[in-house]
Amino acid sequence: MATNTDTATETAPSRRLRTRLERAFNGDLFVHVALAGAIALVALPLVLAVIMSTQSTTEVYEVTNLGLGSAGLSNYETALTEYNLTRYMINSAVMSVVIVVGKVSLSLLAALALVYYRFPFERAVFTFILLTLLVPVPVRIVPLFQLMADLGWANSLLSITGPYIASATAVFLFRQHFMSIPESLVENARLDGVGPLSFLVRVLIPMSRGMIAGVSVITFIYAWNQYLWPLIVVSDQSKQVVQVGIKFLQGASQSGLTQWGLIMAGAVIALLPPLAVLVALHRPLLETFAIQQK
Amino acid sequence: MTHLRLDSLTKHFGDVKAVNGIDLAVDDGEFLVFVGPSGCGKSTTLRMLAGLESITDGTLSIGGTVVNDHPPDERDVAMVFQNYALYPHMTAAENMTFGLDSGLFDRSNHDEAVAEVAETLGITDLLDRKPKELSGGERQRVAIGRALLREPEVFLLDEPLSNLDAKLRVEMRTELLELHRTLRTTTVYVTHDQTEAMTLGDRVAVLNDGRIEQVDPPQRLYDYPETRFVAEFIGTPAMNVLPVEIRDRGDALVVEREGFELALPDADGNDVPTGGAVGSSGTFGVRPEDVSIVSGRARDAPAIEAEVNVTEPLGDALLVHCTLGGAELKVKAEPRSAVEPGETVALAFDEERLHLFDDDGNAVYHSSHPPDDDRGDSNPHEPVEATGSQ
Amino acid sequence: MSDFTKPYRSTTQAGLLLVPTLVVLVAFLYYPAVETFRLSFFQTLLLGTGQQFVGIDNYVALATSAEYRQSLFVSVLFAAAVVVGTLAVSLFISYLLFEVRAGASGYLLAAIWPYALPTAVAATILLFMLHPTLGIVTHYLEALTGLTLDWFTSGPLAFGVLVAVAVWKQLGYNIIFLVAALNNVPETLTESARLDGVGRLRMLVRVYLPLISPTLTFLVVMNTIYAFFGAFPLVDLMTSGGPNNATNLLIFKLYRDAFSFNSLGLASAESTVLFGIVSILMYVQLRFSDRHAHYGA
Repeated sequence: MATNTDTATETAPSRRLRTRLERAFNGDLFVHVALAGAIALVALPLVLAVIMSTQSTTEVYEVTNLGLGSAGLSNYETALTEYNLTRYMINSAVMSVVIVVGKVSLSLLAALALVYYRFPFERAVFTFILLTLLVPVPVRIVPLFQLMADLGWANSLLSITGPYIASATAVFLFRQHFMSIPESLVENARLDGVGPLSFLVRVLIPMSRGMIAGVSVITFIYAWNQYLWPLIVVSDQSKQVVQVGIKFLQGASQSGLTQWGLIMAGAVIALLPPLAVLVALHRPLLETFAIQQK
Repeated sequence: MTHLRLDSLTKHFGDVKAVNGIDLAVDDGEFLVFVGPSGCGKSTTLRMLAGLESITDGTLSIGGTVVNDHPPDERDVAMVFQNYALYPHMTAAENMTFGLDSGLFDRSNHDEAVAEVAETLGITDLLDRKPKELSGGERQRVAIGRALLREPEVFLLDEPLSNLDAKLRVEMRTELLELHRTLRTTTVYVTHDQTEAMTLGDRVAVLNDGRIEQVDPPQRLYDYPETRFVAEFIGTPAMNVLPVEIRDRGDALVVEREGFELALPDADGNDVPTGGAVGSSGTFGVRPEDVSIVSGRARDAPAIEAEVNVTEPLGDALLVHCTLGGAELKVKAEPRSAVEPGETVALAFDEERLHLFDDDGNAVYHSSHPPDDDRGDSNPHEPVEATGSQ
Repeated sequence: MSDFTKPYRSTTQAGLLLVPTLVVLVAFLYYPAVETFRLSFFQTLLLGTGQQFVGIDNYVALATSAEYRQSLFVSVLFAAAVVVGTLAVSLFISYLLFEVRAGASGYLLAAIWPYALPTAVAATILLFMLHPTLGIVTHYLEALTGLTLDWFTSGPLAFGVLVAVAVWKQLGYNIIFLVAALNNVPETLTESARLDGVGRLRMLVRVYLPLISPTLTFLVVMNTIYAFFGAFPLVDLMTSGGPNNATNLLIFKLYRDAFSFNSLGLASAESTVLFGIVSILMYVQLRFSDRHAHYGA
């Protein structure tokens, strides 16, 4: 209807052109081309980084050289060995796994209590947990740093994992999921007097596999990508995580030239684990996010 | 022998009175069905029996023990849920045995018992499958097997067949009956489907608004409804009910409304409403199958004339919708009757099957007598030791 | 309806299950947050040996500091640019993903991968690709436009680069949510519009955008929070706040005040301001999702 009035004032040829454009725009080919183009553009920096990570420093300095370089994988080797990236990767992996396991376990227990137990001040406890969303690290960074020093945790695994193993988001997601489990399944267990831990281990956890996987992916990526907090609380380079480790690479230079090939290799290495986790587990991740949105 | 006894059982959800004082005694080995429209309190009552719902007031005893405060697992009941309540991650066999062991790690061996139950239900080949690999009927069997395995004092079934398609539902109905005939375990069964209630129950309790309207064996419920609600709820198509005036014609009491007057037959002189009812209004009830269309020549009795609105062929009968004195009346006529909309037909009522209800909805008259009426005028809300049930 | 859906009633057991979570939250979240607020009224003496109560001096110092006001201004501008940029690009890609019939799942993974991209990695890669002298992207952009894109010395250019990196990093997260929201739009709406021959753009503007507005609000809030709190590595690795404080975001200034200049009281006051910003955002999110609750399910 509206298009009629719009086009009424136009001349015939321009109307025909418009219609043709509109039809092309609304066709499937347009979607495929535009989408492929957009995705390629988003991936372009990464692809370039991978290419340049194979180039020697001199090749990198020939700005427009787009071929795979002569350095091959040697930049990766140098980054991992001489620049200690192996150590940083291990530190990051340990930190991330500890955070994932800790957060999932603690949150499962808390959600079990919140959903299946009757106790005083239930709502208040849940609100108390949710309110921590208001205090991300930067809001409490100074006292938290002092607290780590007072506890003697500075420079330790504890300092980069401890503050992260409890989370409002994970408790919230598990709670939502538990509440979506049909009541009759819970009642079935009640009729037999199944105990809470047995119920958790034999019913809730098997029935929450997707959600646990989703929360684990979110947590792993989040933990792996930490930068500010490890930068502050870890001063011993050998204890540092890989994200901050990239920063150390920036100082790498060879006869006055920054070794960008080497830095790109480091960046690619630091990206691989979360990327692999995402690719492997994107399905549960997407389902989990679908719930978080509600 | 009474097995389950409900005394003034009451359930309130905040201000909502879901169950409003139910008195009932269920015999050992009896198959009792709760039937009623949604929201009548039938499921809530069943859940109070199971211990899944707390009891606001009244007492519940199983086998002579008051179990009001017993947790579900101490009541020795097994329940089958409408949605089967099978754990998606467990096989059929695991579903059946889960919960039999109380601890986290101690798993005793139930293989033999499971095999036996599976044999009974014909699900031996399905034991290693997960719920999603089972059809609706198979899931239902596993859920029933789950209950059987527990060898409970009482089976509780909450609309177990309502998720099945019509054909399967009829099959499962027969199987449930056979199962009950073999096991003779006391069973309480909830459904909203009156056909299911009639075919399954030794006795049927009709619930409405949190109260029991009537508890009786199915045929008696159908023939002698004690309230207008039961009269209309039991039987399809539903009983015709017409608002009428009750008048004394001298030789008999008559009910009348516009274009229609009927003398109430004197059934052994017992049930005719007393003179006190004369002049008052009430509701006259007759089932569609107790009305017949009189062919032109056989009109000797004072015929009742009605106009045909619509006809619905049901196959085994022709359902004729008529207008009688401004009210609608359904007639179940011979299947191939030549009746056309717009036509005026003469109707006759089966004199043995007429009912009259007062304005409160209670039956004041049935034109025939219950066969062995030793129940007198007992209040249907009193706990009744079943008479004709077994 | 049922009053018995909770099968367990031991308060002690519930407490034991909750204790680990609560202890962590109290020790590492609540306590430091409260402590931040307290510290914001104190001034640390030399070498952190003592504290002196100074009332609202720290806040006054912030309010009167031209540098802080500049930082606040830059941060707000940065957040606005990141929000608009991220939503525009991810909406474009998401809508294409939603519209594409064949191979949708393959495209999806190719579009959401930046969700796994660490901010530090994004910063490092783009630092090189956009490098004024060595960056290949800069090289071709300059060749194309004839401009000199030296963002090492130009404040506005540096600001733009940071926005670009932040948008790049945030795309994955936004696309995930937008595609999910679009897929939640009842199919009958799409089909009935298709029968009427409604064009793609019109569908987006008139049908989809209003229906996914709760998700858009959610993403506005999440992207704002990212811009305020998550962009630290960008500044730290790419610009160190320069040139001329053009990229001196609040989070970076806070970090420097606290850990380079040891002004713990002042930094705490800055943290408290950040807390105010999160609170407002969360409140907006809550109000909006409440109002739109009836759209769900």
